[in-house]
Amino acid sequence: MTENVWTFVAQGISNTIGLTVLGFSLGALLGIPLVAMRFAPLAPVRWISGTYIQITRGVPLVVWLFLIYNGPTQFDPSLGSVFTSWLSALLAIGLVSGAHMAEIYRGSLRAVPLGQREAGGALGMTQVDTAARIIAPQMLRTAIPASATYAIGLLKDSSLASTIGVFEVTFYANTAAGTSSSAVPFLVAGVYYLALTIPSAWGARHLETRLSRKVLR
Amino acid sequence: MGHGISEAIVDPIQRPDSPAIRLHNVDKRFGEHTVLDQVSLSVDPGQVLALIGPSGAGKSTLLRCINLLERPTGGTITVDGVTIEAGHTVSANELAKLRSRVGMVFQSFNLFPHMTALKNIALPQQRVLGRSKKEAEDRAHALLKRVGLADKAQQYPTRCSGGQQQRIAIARALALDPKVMLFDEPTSALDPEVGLEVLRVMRELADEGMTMAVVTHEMQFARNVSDHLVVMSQGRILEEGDPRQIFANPQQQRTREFLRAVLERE
Repeated sequence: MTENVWTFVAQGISNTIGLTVLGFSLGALLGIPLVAMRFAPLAPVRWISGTYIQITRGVPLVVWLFLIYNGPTQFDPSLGSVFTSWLSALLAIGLVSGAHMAEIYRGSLRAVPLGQREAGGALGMTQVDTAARIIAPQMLRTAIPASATYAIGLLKDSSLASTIGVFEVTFYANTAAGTSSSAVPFLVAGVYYLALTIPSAWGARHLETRLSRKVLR
Repeated sequence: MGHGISEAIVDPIQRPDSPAIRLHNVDKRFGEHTVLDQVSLSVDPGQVLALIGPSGAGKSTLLRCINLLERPTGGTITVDGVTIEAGHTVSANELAKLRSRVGMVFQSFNLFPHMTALKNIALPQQRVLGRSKKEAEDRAHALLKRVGLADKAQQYPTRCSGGQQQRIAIARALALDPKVMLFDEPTSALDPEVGLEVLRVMRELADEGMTMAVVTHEMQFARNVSDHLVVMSQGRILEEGDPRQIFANPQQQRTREFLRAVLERE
């Protein structure tokens, strides 16, 4: 039985990784226009982005999962074939992490001294050039470690997708636990999560020391 | 800010004796607060202008108006035949045209920390002037040698002392072949001793005939190197003229007070 539990729960690993990687990528992309909007010259544009970030971050992920999974079918049952468990989970994670990533970008943008932008401008570099070659590389120095920490958190939070029936690690553990009336499957799930998070955290730390060694300040 | 600047027009007829920098009735206001009040001045080609005065006088703001890091709310700015009038929107093209003529050195150096000294100097040449990498790096090496830092090419700025960083920053600005160099308190963030190496480079530059405008608290430099001295206070020019004459015999009470305060310290 015990060996079966290991292979049974392992079936969820690819979905856990897939959901985390795709959801995080979606968030990392969505964060870019969101942070750009936060610095827009037009106040209403800033408000839209600020409000989005407030609302998305202020509601628990599990509530977003239920809202996105169940909400659309309320209006049109045929939408159920569009908002499958998997897509709903991906959207919820993507939308929420977009708001978090926008905040990470904003923080790392603030960490770049204003003088850097001025120097680029005074040298006659275009705004795009200054952004791409002067500001962005310095932003990444702080944004990458923060994003890595967030992504590791997301890996664990992706377990919430089991509540709407995504076949990931926690879902399989829960199923096995239900049929065997044993807590062992959750122990197995815990080991799998550790097997994923510990190397990721190690990688993130390694990346951080490499980045800070390259550019001391 | 943001609004309020004009079109740059390249003067087709450039008389050889026309000033390198000319400011006419330049105003800078933030709401009720006036930072610059109708300031006019001109700097001839090859001249070194020193701007001195108590802090908050508007010296740095005036300097930053010359390359439009600060947008004036009124007046006209002409640099090497390119004129910008306050009151219209300035296009990116016009801004580039003006800034290509003006090099700037900041109090806080503002070197790019993620690039070596060489790359700091080479990259802007490649991006702004379209020079090849080889061309840009050759020029960078030559300029590093000129400021006495030939051995620092592969060093990152944070590995260099403040004085070295500032000299790299001067080389970076010179690499773009500016007609005019602006210095915004270039030695204020440095130890007095380290500041000397920067001042030496600046003096050499002046001797070679570079047109310079320098905001400074270095009274020795203002007195001995500059050709024209401007004393500012409260957004206005208090007094201007020959530096030695002003130092020896200031005409205004406020100038006397300021000079006494700074010279007694030295």
